[in-house]
Amino acid sequence: MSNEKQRRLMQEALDQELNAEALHILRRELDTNPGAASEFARLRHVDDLFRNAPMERASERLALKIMERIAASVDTKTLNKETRLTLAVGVALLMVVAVPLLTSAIGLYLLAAGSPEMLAALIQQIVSLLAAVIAMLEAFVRGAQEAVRDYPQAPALLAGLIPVTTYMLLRLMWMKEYGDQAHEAG
Amino acid sequence: MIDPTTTAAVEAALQGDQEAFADLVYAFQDAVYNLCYRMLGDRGEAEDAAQEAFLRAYLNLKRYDQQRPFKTWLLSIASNYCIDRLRRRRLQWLSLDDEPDEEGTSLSLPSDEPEPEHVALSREHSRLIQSLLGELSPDYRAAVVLRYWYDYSYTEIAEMTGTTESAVKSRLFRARQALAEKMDGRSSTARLTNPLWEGS
Repeated sequence: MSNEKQRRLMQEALDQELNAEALHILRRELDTNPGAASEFARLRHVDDLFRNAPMERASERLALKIMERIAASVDTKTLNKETRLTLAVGVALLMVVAVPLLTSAIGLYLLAAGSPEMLAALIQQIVSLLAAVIAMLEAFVRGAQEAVRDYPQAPALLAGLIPVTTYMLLRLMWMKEYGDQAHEAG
Repeated sequence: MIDPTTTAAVEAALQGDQEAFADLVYAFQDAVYNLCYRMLGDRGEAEDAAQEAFLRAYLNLKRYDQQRPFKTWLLSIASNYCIDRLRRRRLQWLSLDDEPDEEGTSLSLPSDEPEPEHVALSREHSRLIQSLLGELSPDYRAAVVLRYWYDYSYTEIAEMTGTTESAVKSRLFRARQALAEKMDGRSSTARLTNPLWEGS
């Protein structure tokens, strides 16, 4: 019998995968070949040792540690998701502000390059617009000052409205959250 | 064989039910821990590897093929992780040019607590096996552990470790030969002191 075949038969015998005929061939070989018999006995000894090997049990806290690690990983994942979302919103807002500004700057540059008179007219219009806004704000402040003078209790009333409004808003948010949870619970 | 309880827990976990996944952890933690311990030979590392294996399973649960037993899938994750870890460890050792203590501290430290004889023998048996396993390469070690502790067939081991059936057969045979040689080398010194070697 070749060494290769002998090895294969020994291996399959140890793994209990030999059919009766192959087992008979192996037994005959082991009876007539002392070298093969000795080799098989050595392998059999290893096989017995490992076949009876004890199973190591996990510590009592392992399951808890695993679940803690999973929870931490899920939290990090959610946090990453929120961070990405915040970043995306930030970039979008920046774009909303930056694109018109950039467009205006390019427009102004082109106007200045093409016609200095038109640029001067445009700047004058912007200055007029800003002056009108400032005038409106001044009128609002003057109106408020007059109202305070006529009704001294108005600032106290406004200050009192702040906690009431905050409470109403918080209550509204809580009711919405509670409603969502109730909906999820089915 | 597919266990319906396991399948139900997997499906619930896929819906985001972490308690269902905790049931899977309780059901398979010993199997995963034993594999990691047999592969890595150190209890602390085995705990860490078991945690990592379960975490990877949780994060990749959508990829699990429910036609296959969950335990097989889980153990394949754990064995591949341990093989990678052993290879990385070997690279670190090589870079440090320092030979490791294969038995690890948890195995080599003697316990002061009195033990019943059978417990002591069982521990001694476990240590002997662990020290022998520690002398095999990661791939051979995985084949031996999956064969002897979990009784997987050549085909299953091949699928789990991403190799061929003939490679598994060859690894098992060579591993047994290497283990027999190691045992021959130890038996002459250990026979006098260790009752496990009697009659060998």
